[in-house]
Amino acid sequence: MNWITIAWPMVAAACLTLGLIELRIGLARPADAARLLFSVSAFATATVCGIELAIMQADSPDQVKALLRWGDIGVGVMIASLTAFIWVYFRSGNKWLALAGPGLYAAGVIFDFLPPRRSLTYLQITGLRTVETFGGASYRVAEGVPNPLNVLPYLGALMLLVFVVDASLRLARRGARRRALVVGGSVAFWVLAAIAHSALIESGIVQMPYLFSVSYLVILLAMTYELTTDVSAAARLGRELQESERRMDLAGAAAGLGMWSLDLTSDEVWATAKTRSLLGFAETESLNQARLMGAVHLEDRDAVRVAFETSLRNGRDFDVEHRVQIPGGETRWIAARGRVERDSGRRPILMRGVVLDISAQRRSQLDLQQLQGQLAHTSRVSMMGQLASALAHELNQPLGAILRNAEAAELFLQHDPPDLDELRPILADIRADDQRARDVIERLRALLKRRSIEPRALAVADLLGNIAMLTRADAAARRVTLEIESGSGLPQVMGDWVHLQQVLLNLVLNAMDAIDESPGNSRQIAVRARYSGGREVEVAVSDSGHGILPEKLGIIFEPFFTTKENGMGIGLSISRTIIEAHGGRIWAENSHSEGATFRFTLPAAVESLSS
Amino acid sequence: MSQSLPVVSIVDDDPSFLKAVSRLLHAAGYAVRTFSSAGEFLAQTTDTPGCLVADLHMPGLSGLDLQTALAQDPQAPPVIFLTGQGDIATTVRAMRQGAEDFLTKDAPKAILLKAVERALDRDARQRAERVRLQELRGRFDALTPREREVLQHVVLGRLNKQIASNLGVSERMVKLHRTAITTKVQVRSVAELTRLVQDAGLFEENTPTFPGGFQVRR
Repeated sequence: MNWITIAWPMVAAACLTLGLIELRIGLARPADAARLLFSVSAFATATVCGIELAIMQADSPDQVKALLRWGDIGVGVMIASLTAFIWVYFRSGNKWLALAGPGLYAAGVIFDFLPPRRSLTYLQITGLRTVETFGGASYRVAEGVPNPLNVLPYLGALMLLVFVVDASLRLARRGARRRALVVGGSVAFWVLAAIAHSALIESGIVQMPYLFSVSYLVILLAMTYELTTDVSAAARLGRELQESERRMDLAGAAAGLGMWSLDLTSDEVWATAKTRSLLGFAETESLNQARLMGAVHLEDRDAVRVAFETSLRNGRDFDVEHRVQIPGGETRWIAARGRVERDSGRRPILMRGVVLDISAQRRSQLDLQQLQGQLAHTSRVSMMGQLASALAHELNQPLGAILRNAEAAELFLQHDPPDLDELRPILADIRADDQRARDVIERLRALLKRRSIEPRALAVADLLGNIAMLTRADAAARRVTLEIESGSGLPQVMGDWVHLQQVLLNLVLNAMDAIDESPGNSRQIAVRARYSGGREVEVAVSDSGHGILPEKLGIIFEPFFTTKENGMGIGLSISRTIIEAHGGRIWAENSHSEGATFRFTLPAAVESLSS
Repeated sequence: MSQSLPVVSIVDDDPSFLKAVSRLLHAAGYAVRTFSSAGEFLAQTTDTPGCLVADLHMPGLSGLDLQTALAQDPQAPPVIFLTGQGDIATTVRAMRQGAEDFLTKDAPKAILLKAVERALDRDARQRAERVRLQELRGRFDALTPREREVLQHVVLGRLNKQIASNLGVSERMVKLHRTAITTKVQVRSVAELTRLVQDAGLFEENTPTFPGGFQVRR
């Protein structure tokens, strides 16, 4: 035993060790395929190391010849695996250069195994020499006639050198300078050393053992450095991840957010404690998709399922609000959001998301809606108050007619003989007027009722006609001409009769007020409905008043904005609330000639579009 | 006095009410004509005796507008307003412009019919008065200019002697003129003559001046 028989096995052991480590990492993470390639080169090096040691201790030229042949294959595997490693690890390099190195090398190695089965290195090995070295160690070197074909593996190695330098430069240009310098540099060094050293040996200039494996130590060092850098980076990442997880926990807790993810392939659910408590699950309960769905309120389940499946299909975010019935009896409103993750084949594999308790918002939203409903009702009642005297007129007409008809009937009965023929039409008229009075009362009652918005298909002409009826008397008393125009071919609109009446009434009464405030102008109001295709019907109320100051156009729909001495400033703001709740828009503009025009749109009812 | 029957004209924009009122008045024995707007009523030109029953609130020309338009016409019929709701201001204005009556639409039949009756009476009286005055003016128109001068002095209560000296004629001449006047105007006393001169509105246009510009001294 001497230092040679100790050193070479140690090199081999080092190669094996790092090779095994890299193999383990490479197998664990498919993304680290480069490490697998590197481990191949390390194992090949360990083999070459053994061959080198065997050559040093060979007893005959034939033995050396056989060992050299296997050594050529080992080095070939090293060259090929290193080329592939650089190619994958750097994700750069010239493809043809990459193929050229191993290709040329392989072309040379073929001669090792072709008849006449001469050695690629020596045409003939003439003898073995024993060289004594320090420490009492000795090794053998071959002497013989070099094979001219041996130039092929050298060219292959040179090509590898060119490829590595080129790939490293490319990588360095992309910014990964450290990796290019350390890994590229070490591989280049190994190639250079291997070429130079074996050339010197094989030309007989120096008499030394082969050092392919020994010089590979540089690459081992470089890769160990890479590995430790990666490990410490991973440790840092781990710490940062922990930190960011803590931050996310804190943010989630502060915002009341529960986080969850659903593995779509294994049907496993991960959920934070907050998620579990929001959905009414125990801390340790194991969850899956079906159990999550089971937490959703029965009435919302279909909607949630549809949203979930839609999200899986079209890749949009899953975004749904639903109720959860907690076993204690409490019902919670939950907002659930989620995002789908897909594999490379675009198949959904995971959904990650959050849940949030929105019961409080829902409650205040309901309160707000109720308040708005009350306000709208109050304003409607107050508007009806404004119209009261005019509406009394509307009622007095049929009532007066009934009275006169009844009195006429009495007189006809007093005639001698009683004029019975006159009675039949009188009774029919009384009945008709009674119906008329009933209709007026019914309409008023409908307007005064407190109710939520319940949209259904309505004929625009009916809406405008009823407004004409309600305001006719008032318009006559104020000497305003009211023109109603709803062209034919108007589709029905989706809306709530009472609330839309309120909006129209508000606009028409405002228009009359505007006309009263500008005595010089003509006294006209036009209410027109227009449909120009598409999904909306537009209704416009134009007056011949003084118009609106341009700087006020933007704010007249704000609550409590008013230009009237006794106005509350809620009419238009309620109108806007109502129209927007219908999915329409409302706005005002000054007309070209005089006065202002208020316009609003309503969604056309879909059924009637086709007819 | 005109021979034709009085007609009650009704103006209301509400066809049902119009029909009911016209039916009632017809049942009560009146001849009735209906109009659905003030403009339609003003467009007809016949001068039949009668009265007008009009709605106060109508689109276009309102009841008050109609009354104002009629005020230009000395032969306009009396107006009764019917209204669903009456406010004081409108009532006052209507009455001041000479409305015969102002009733709510649900006023009892008796009151309505009484109002119509009153209006027709007033129309008949006004028409009779117009006829009488016309006839009276015809009588005065028959006087010669000299007789009108004498008449002017007579109604001022002057004695024949004063008139004679004032006009520069003999007393006998004055007596002859006075006889011609009483014959033509068909009166028996100076008092009656004075009343008729007032009724006919004679000498009112340019108050008490004599032709020639002399101030009358009483």
